[in-house]
Amino acid sequence: MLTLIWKDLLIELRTKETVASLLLLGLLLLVVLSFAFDPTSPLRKEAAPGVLWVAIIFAGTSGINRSLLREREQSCLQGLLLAPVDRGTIYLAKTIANLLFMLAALCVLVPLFIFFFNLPFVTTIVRLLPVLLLAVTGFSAIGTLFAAVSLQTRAREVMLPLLMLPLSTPLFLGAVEASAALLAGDPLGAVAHWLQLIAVFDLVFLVVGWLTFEYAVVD
Amino acid sequence: MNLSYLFAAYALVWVAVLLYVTSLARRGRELEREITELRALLAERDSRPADTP
Amino acid sequence: MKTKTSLTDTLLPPVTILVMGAAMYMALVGAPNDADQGPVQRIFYVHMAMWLATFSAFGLVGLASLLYLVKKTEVWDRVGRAGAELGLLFCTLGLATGSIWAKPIWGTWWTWDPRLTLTLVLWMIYAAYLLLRNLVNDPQQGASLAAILGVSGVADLYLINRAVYWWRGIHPAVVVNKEGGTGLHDPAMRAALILSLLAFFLLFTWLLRLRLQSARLQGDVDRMRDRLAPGY
Repeated sequence: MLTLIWKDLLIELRTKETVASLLLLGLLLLVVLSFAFDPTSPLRKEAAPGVLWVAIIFAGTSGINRSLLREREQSCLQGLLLAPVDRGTIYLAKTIANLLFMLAALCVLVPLFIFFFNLPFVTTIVRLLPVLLLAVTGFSAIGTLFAAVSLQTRAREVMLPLLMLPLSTPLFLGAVEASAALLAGDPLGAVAHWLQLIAVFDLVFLVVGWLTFEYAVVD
Repeated sequence: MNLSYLFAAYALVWVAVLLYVTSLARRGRELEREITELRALLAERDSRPADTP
Repeated sequence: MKTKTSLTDTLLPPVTILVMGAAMYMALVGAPNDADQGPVQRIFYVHMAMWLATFSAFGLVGLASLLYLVKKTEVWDRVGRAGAELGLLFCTLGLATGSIWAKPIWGTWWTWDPRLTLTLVLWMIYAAYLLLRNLVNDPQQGASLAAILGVSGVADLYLINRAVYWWRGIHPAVVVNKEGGTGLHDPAMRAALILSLLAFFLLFTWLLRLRLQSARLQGDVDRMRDRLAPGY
């Protein structure tokens, strides 16, 4: 499985497509959503966690779509499927690769977010770290599975958010609520239930993805 | 007196259910018709000697 | 299977109609007016029934999806699809009746009431399921893909429920709960509710059978078309 992940990473390092599109879209969304709020209005501060996660989710959706689309276009998937590799392993490898891409993009997006919303730098990162890690894992897990599903449909890229987002309600609500509380200075204990929810979500979809990925890529 | 809301809610439910049932029934009739047509076509084709393998 | 179900087929419609008649009577006439909300409260009886149907359908879709993935027999795909259609229908009606009820009572068409929100999310999942089925070229592939969604939905349901209730700061005691805090002590009211739930459940079952029958016919048509000319 390590080789599979390594392969994905190598391809990405050469083309930088996925991370680039993730970054750009994320940045765009952060800016546009910032425009939605009057800079002096207190609403802005309250909306901050929401803005962050909307940007992450929509950029992430696009990024994962690209990564699987590219794989399809270059028929890598066909080649992989011919090899005697367990489908579940392919899924896990792709999920981890997508996760790494998203984390890479976050390394730029989160500082930008801090910058735009004028938050304390290190404190914010330390506080948000657990939520970021947990949520992005789950996002990658459910995203990779449903990207494979949606690419088989006629509506391709539009299908992924339609499929993913309602199901990701626990993820999104959890991430935003926990982020809001953490940014306000609440201790980790106060958001433990949200973090647990996200963690369970991660687990559930990793398992579902691992078990059902093969049905999504039968060609 | 809010009775209009009550009426609206119940009416909506019943109209929707009846619409669904009628569309199902219509679909069913179309399918039955299609099946008879296809059966006839199949019977006709099977009674002919095979043209091409 | 066709002859074995004929007993259910003959009994179901009249029983449904009978129970439905009793339910409607109780709901609209038999049960007393609610002390606080007045006659509008009667929407509750039909609203809860929509709720029951939606969840039954959801469970059915989840189960059928799982069975399809495991067994790959067409039957389960048909059940899944029929369940999703009916689920979407009753879910829409649930949202509509809930909204119509909310307007006079709470003064607004929509509230982010956790149950309404949950129903909205479910609605989107149902809609996605049907959209997915229709947008895939190969029907067998479409069945598998939809099944993945079906299974995911059920696996996710509890989590969505928790998330939505916590979001609104409410801790859910029981998922199926009475709205508006009405105690439902009056036996006539309880009877109305139970009859209504039963009646719509029977209706749901009846519609499901009709839909499945339609799907079976469709399957026959497709098979015959294939025999006539593959790809016709």
